[in-house]
Amino acid sequence: MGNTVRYKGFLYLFFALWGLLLLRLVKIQILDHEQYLKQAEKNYIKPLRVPPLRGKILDREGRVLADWKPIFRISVLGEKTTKEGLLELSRLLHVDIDPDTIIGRPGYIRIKDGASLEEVISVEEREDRFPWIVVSTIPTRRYLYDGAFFHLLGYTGEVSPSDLERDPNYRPGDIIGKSGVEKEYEEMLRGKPGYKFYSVDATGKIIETDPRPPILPVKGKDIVLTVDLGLQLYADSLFSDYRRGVAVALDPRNGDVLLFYSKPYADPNVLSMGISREEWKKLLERKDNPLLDRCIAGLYPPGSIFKLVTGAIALDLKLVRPHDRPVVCRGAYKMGNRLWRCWLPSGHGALDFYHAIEQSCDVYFYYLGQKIGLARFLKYVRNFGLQEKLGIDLPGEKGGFIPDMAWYEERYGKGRVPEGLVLNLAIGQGEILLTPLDLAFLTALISRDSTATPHILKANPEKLSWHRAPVEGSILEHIRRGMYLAVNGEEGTGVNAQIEGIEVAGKTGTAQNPHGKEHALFAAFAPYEDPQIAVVVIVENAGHGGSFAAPIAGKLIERYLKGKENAKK
Amino acid sequence: MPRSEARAFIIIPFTLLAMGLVELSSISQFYFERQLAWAFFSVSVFALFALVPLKFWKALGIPLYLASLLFLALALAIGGPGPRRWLQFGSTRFQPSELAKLGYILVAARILSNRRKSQIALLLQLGFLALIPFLLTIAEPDLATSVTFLWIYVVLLFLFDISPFYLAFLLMPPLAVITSFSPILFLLLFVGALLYSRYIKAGLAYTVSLLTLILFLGFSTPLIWKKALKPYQRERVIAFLAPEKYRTGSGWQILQARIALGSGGLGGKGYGRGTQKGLSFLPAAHTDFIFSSFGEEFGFVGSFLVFILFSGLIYTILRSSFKMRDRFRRALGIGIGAYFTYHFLANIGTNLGFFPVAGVPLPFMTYGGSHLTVEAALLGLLIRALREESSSYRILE
Repeated sequence: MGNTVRYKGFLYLFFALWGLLLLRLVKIQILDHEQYLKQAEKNYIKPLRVPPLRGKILDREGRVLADWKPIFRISVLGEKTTKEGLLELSRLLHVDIDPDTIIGRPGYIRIKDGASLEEVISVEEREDRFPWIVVSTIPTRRYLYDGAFFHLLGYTGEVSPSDLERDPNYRPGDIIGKSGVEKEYEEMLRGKPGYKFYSVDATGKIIETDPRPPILPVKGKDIVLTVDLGLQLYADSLFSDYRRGVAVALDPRNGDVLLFYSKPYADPNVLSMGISREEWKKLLERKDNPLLDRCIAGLYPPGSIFKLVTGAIALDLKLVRPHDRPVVCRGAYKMGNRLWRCWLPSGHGALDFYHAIEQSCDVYFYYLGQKIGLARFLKYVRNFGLQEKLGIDLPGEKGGFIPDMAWYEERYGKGRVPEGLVLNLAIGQGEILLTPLDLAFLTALISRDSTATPHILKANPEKLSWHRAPVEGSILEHIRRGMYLAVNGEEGTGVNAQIEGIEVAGKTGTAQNPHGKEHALFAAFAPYEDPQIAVVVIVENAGHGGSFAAPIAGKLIERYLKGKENAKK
Repeated sequence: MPRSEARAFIIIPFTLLAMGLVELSSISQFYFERQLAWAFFSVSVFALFALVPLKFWKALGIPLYLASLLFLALALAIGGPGPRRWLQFGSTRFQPSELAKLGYILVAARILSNRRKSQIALLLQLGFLALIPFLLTIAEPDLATSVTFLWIYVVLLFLFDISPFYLAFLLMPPLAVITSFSPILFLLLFVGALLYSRYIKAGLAYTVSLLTLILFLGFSTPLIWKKALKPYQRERVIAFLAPEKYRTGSGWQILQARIALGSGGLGGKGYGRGTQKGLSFLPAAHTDFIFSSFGEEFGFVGSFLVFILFSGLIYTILRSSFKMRDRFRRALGIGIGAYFTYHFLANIGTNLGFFPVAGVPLPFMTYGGSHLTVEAALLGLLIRALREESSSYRILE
């Protein structure tokens, strides 16, 4: 027999250590069980984010403008990937993959959307080389009419880092509206992503699908726009001979945007699938700027259309009476020692207010401009509010550019601003720049004395915000008569906008343009007695408004009003 | 031979073996079949050692020990890059360090059986014999296995009444090395050593030299750690200290083992349904981490049974060995007890995250023929020793 004390000491030591291990075992297996169970599940259950169906975009009659199509999406389980595998995958899928941004990242990472069937098969054949891959079929945006609605609807694309920072609901690889309606109504359209679960082994290979019930994605809300599909496509066909131009139409009764057309445009179906950096750069550098939404961000000199504003200010200030013939046009107007030419070199003779608008006599409006004076003119123009953004529900709207005296003083020096500037401004040629939407809004305002803020989303009539013209209705009545004559009068400049059976009122504009031929402008509303549509057409570098813009405007009005009547029958 | 003890030495190992086989069959049919073959082989080895008289094994100890050293050196010499722990014989691999454990226990018991040897001679001879396999295995490298020899050495000396003066010199250095990384623990050790010297009424020279040794080791260890250790060795220790930081490598293994055990809970996930080992997140599920794998599928109920069986086995071994009058048999029994104590504590401690990944098998359960054969031999020796002890006792009566 050995030493009993030491024998017992050793036994105690052993059982103390045994007890210590047992305590630890209890802690791990019983006390912390839940936590480790979660970790074990996290180990092998991998969630795959499933994009939701984006809400459909419908026109005012409920016709689909944008819905979905299925595409193949290829994702990889970042934490299991290897450099060699990713490089091979990059070759098979013809995409650039930077392995350093993927290796070791937890969860599934999108590698390619819209892979072709050949690519999918070539990847699946080599499954053993990249066990960490998953191919899923997901819905992606489909625009049914390609470019015609590009500037209105916009397009979709992968969230940017700034989006991710701004909104914690997004994850890398999610799709977000990038412009137009898609961007403006992102929150309504986007829906809620779901999750699919996969059991994977330690190499990332999928062992089982749905080890726990999937979280279904929630579809986004469909939205109904105010635009008219037929009118928009018709506008596209009317512009087929022209490279650049705009057509905007409003319903003056409620501010509904009926037509929102800007040319040139890009194909949103192509942009939404993602294009390479070079292609994107090419698009940005194109001279005709297809990414510019001319309707709300293109700034044009309003040309003679602005005579309507000049006339309204003069009547409001009682500087002239409508039936007066205060000036005789002999083809030019003299102020100081300078001659200002009328567009008609032979001259219009003595005209009253109505016929001055009908024939767009420059001399008459030079006279009004001089009577108003530069400072007063600039002050009263601002009352129309066109220098502000109108607040249409689209991103990227620009306000008109209407300089004030301070702006001129900075250019010419205090007290040295030439008074003659007002003559140019009075006929819409000077520094003032407006967007087509501004012009359409102005036309709508004139047509019914008041109108609502232009809007793209069909809105509850009670929620509209209304604008009143800054002059009396009786004054606008004089202007409307002038516009009626411009289309229907014997000498009217806008006779090309006449339509059988509908009384159209309008005003031509021809904006001088330092870069080439004049822009042709035309603003019109109809029917004359009960205006239901106000339309502005601009054809860039085409020539006279009456020759090029007026016929398009007339056809658009005809299509809209008669199309509605046909629908009623 | 008392019946209860014989029962313990047969029933407990067979139960553990069966549990290991069940788990191995859940992991892989391949491992199960090979281990089953090893189990049959081990039973015959057990019978062989139990039936042949002890004096034969006592004589065979030295050649066995020398042969194992030769194999260890051979494995070191012909092994390729990476750990050189095995010798290949056809399709089977043999781990010479396991044989060395058996050899050392036999040789040490033989030396201890000589009651005329001085304490200092025992200390030095046993130490020297432990040092050679220790160095050979640490060179493989296999730190945990190499420590087995030191552990058996210290336990044998402790239970064979080595003087507290020597004992302090034996135990304090490793403690000084371990505590050198924590100033507080090191201070405690230092004060403890001082009080211990007072308690055993040591002289001034003894006390001073003991304390000097402790101080020397305490300050030189951190230096060696930084300068002399290989990066992977340091990494193993660091990974053990902060496994979450090292999601791959040894830290990954420790973490996955804990997740396996913890996710098993009280009742376990059921046979064949462990996700950690099934989806191969748990590496070495069939070797070092079979306990975690078993615990994942059979829960706390299963792993507690493992605890109970091992404590029963070890307690029975120690108690019956301690009662033996013959010094050889007693040393043999205590050496065997030390073997099982160390393997249980080190392996389970690793599975529970107390130690860095060790590479020590869990007796009877871990996949592998070398350790199973040696364990069968140890149990055979023990039963033989018990039988001879009780028969000689009867004759003396």
